[in-house]
Amino acid sequence: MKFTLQRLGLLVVALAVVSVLIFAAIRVLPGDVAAVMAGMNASPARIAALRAELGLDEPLVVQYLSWLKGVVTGDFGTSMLTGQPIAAIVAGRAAVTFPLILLGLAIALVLGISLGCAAVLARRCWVRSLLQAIAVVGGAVPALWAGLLLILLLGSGTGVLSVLPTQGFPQDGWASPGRALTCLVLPALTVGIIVGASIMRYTRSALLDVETNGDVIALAMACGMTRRRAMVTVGLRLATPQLVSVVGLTFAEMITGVMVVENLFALPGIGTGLVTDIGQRDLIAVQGELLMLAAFFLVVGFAVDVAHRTLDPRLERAA
Amino acid sequence: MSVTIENLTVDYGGRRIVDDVTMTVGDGERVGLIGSSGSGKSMISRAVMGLLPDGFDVGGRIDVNGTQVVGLPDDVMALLRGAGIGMIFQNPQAALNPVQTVAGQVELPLKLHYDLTKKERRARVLEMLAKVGLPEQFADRPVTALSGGQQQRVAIATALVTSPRFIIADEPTTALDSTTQKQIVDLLVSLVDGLGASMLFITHDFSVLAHATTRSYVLDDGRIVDEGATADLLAAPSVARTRTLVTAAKTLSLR
Repeated sequence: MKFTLQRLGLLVVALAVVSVLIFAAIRVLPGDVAAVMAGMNASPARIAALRAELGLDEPLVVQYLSWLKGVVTGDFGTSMLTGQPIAAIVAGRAAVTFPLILLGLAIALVLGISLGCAAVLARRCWVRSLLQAIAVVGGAVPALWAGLLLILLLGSGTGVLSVLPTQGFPQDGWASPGRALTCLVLPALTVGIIVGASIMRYTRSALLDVETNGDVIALAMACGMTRRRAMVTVGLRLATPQLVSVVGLTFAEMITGVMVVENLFALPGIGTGLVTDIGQRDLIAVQGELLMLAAFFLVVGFAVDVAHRTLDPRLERAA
Repeated sequence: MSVTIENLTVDYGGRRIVDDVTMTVGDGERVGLIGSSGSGKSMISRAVMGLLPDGFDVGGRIDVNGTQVVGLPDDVMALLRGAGIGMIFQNPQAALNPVQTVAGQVELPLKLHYDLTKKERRARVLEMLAKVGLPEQFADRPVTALSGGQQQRVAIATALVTSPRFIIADEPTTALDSTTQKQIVDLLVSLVDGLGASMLFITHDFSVLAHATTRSYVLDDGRIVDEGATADLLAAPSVARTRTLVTAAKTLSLR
């Protein structure tokens, strides 16, 4: 409990520091924020009006506190381009990205953990070598190439099997869940195969680590378990804290890491949205989106820390 | 239960680790296997239990009560391990499951081999813990919260809870201080004798072996180089390797 509270305190401090850094980073960009946002051909009057509208003529501390006050109440500001609240824009994009990464992660976990176990338990040497090669190749394949291969194999219209949509997301979002989910299958498979290869390598190495460092597996076998059972039950349980850390941090990275996949499959997700906003100089939106992403990373990191501690009682007692 | 090992060899990566070892442990007998670190003692115990990982090549014969176990499939060996043969490892801290409670660890062989209710298992576990000198309140503590000596008692309870007929104690006192060493050896001997079981006691320390066994084999570089009554080997070692081990034990006990 003390550990959780400590970490929670650190999380709040980190969030405060990150908010200052993001706020400052937007302000120290070359040129005036209002001028950048207004565009190259804007008149001085338009820039002045924009500056006043955004409160950029106030002292920096006042601007920061005003922004922070809004953030705390869920108001991240309004997009200069669409006039929509930034929180609503991000929520709309998250409704694409989160299901995509959750589905991708689920595929990655099933593939990674089962093949990781198989890579340790396979009796034949060539099978172990083949699985290890799959893990290495799978992890080295660029997302763009893997996605294109899947489109060529399964994509409707272009693919050999022509069964799954390859572009876009329904305008009405999850109002038609079946269609929305179908649109995410190919992108999620792309993400799942690449992340799965990485989870497979971690699973294999964590299991071998449990088996070779100490006699816990040997004792479980000496009690009457087969090696397979000992590795899958005792070994995986002991490897869980390590895997939870890897999976948690992978999950956090995927939020922006799936940008290439979102682009390839024309999905209106968080990563592509952020790039669009930067390209269109909607800096107030970028500021809010960066803070939300940073908060997400920090919250996942906090959850991973607490989960790791809970799953490995040795850490509690070592402390 | 008697165990006969004939011409046992263990090879790994083209290197012979155990070389033509022949030894017997008679029914109800406590036999020692002594040798310095790296002499191949643990390889022999793991070969008997079928615990050697892929890559180790085991040759020769190991008869456990008339059944040849070398080359038996893992699922068949698993039926023997924990029920017919119990094993105690060198370092309990590295062998006990760190996410288990004491009771959870000790009841594992019962769960795997017997169709008992939870209540019956609990009763057997508490009875076994009492035998190794751990009161009931230890049952629900995490194994990692115990001292080294207490953890080794848990390991002994785990190995003996099913009343196996053959026990392998692989350097069970090495990780313990000298006072606890004696307590653990005395406890083990009394429990094994109480069960009427046989024991193969592995160590590199003759002073420990004298308490635990009546007959011993001396292993050097994977080969048996001496054998006889433990008391005779200690009193008048005739082979150079045995003399070295005896001298080391006497030097240590003088300190």
